[in-house]
Amino acid sequence: MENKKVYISVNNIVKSYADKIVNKNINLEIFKGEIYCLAGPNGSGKTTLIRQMMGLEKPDSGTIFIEGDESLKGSKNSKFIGNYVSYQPQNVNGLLRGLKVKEAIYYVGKLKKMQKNKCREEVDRLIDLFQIKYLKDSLVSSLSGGERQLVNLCMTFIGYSPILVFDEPTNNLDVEKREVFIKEIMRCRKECNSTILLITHDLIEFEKVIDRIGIMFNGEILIIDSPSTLCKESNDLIKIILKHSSRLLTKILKEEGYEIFDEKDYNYLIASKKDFNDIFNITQGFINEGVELSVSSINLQDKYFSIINNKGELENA
Amino acid sequence: MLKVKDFFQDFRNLLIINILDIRTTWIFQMIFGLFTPLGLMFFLKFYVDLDNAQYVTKILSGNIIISMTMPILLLLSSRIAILKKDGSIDYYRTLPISMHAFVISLLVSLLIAYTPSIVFVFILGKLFLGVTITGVTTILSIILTIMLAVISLIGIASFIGWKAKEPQHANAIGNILFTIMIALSPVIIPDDRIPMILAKTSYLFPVTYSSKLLGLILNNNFNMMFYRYIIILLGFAIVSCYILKRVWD
Repeated sequence: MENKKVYISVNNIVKSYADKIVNKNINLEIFKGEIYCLAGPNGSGKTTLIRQMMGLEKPDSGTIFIEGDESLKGSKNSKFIGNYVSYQPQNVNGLLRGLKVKEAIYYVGKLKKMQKNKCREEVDRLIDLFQIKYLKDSLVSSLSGGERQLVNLCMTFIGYSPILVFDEPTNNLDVEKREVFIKEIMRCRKECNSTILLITHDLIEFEKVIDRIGIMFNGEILIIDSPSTLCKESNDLIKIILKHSSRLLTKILKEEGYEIFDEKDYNYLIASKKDFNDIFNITQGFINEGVELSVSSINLQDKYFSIINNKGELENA
Repeated sequence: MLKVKDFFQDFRNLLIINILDIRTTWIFQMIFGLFTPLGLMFFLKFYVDLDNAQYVTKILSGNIIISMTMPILLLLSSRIAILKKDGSIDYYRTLPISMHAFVISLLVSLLIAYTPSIVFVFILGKLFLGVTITGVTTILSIILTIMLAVISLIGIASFIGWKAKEPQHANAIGNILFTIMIALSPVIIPDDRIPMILAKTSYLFPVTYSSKLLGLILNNNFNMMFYRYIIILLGFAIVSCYILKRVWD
């Protein structure tokens, strides 16, 4: 990626609301054809940053360039962003509510200046792709959250845009539709060399497709790197998975300073390899209570949690 | 040239979107649009001397102005506020379209939804008040008046919708302005019965001139005042377009 052309450049962006600084001197560069992910806990400033990149909000200071042109220089009536970007915002439940699904996708395509026949073909292709043929004559207002999200995705994919921006695209989607979404962004990158910017919490799902990830916390970008480098850097870390129902075990591990994460059927913790023996010894005391322990290498989501927790602990200290 | 073509293509597609968007609710909007002017026409019939032609045209012109003012001040402003609140306007801003085309298409879609109400007011004017509209000049003058009246309010309606933090705020401000403009100015109330102070302040509102202009047209008075009111309304329309541009730029 290092040899690639910088396509989006964010320089020293500062943004605050009332007395809260939501973006603190943000700098990032996104390359042409890159799949870039912004991750971070709720309220970390991801959507605010994206909204500034879309020209929807003005930063207090700093500049944003898209292909060398300043994206913030235009007015509300500027077509600059529209000519570059196709944007799937978060929570747009009111959008085109009175239109039928096929009409909503078609007219967004028309507003993106698509030719009538090409637009119709693309509507049919996207409706087939996301398996929503049964919804095509339904009013958008009558759809469930997940169905509406699929329509929003179709509206984002229709028409060629050099940059595709998705704000939590897989919210409310089932596993199958998430796979379809991932395949489609891969196709856009491969066939159109589109640059893709994602805000997501589904890091496990996207780990294999994203080129780089920027992790945000409390208005700052803590780290920018590729998932493989991030996970490689954590070679000394392991994920210890515990299947048990003992509250006492959890309490003891927490007292020992380990952060315990809950999943549906198990708990897990991230620890360095040298701590494994200590943890193993603690769990041996609960062997009669049916504690099962297994170890795996850490994935991007684990690394993400580890970064966020370390930062959180540092700030609380 | 390409920009003009683009603008009209945007306008056409956005108009279709906006019409389709209100297709399930337009019947209620039309009834809402009819309710106030019809009610006023019905009650004023008992209070106003129907043998006085001036009063009769006053009732009719006033009701037509109400039928037009309501969709602009109340519906356009609150619709903009709703679209802003639910993120739709932000979405449109990320599309390669003219936002001026967007707001004009929004207005035109509301006017199309309200056209049956305006036509109905004319029909009832003929049935109840005996006012007949004939002649190309009269019809064209009425259309011109309606256009000027609408354009002269679109700026302030956009401003209210854009600046309101909540759609309810836009609705409340629109209602207050509507009441001041209509109820407290000589739109419905004959000029000689309106309190002096209100008669003076009413000259600040374009609806005063559009209702007077319509009154002249309905009485077939194409005199100097007719042209004077057109020029004044043109002035309001230019200011309104300037505000509209400032709001959306």
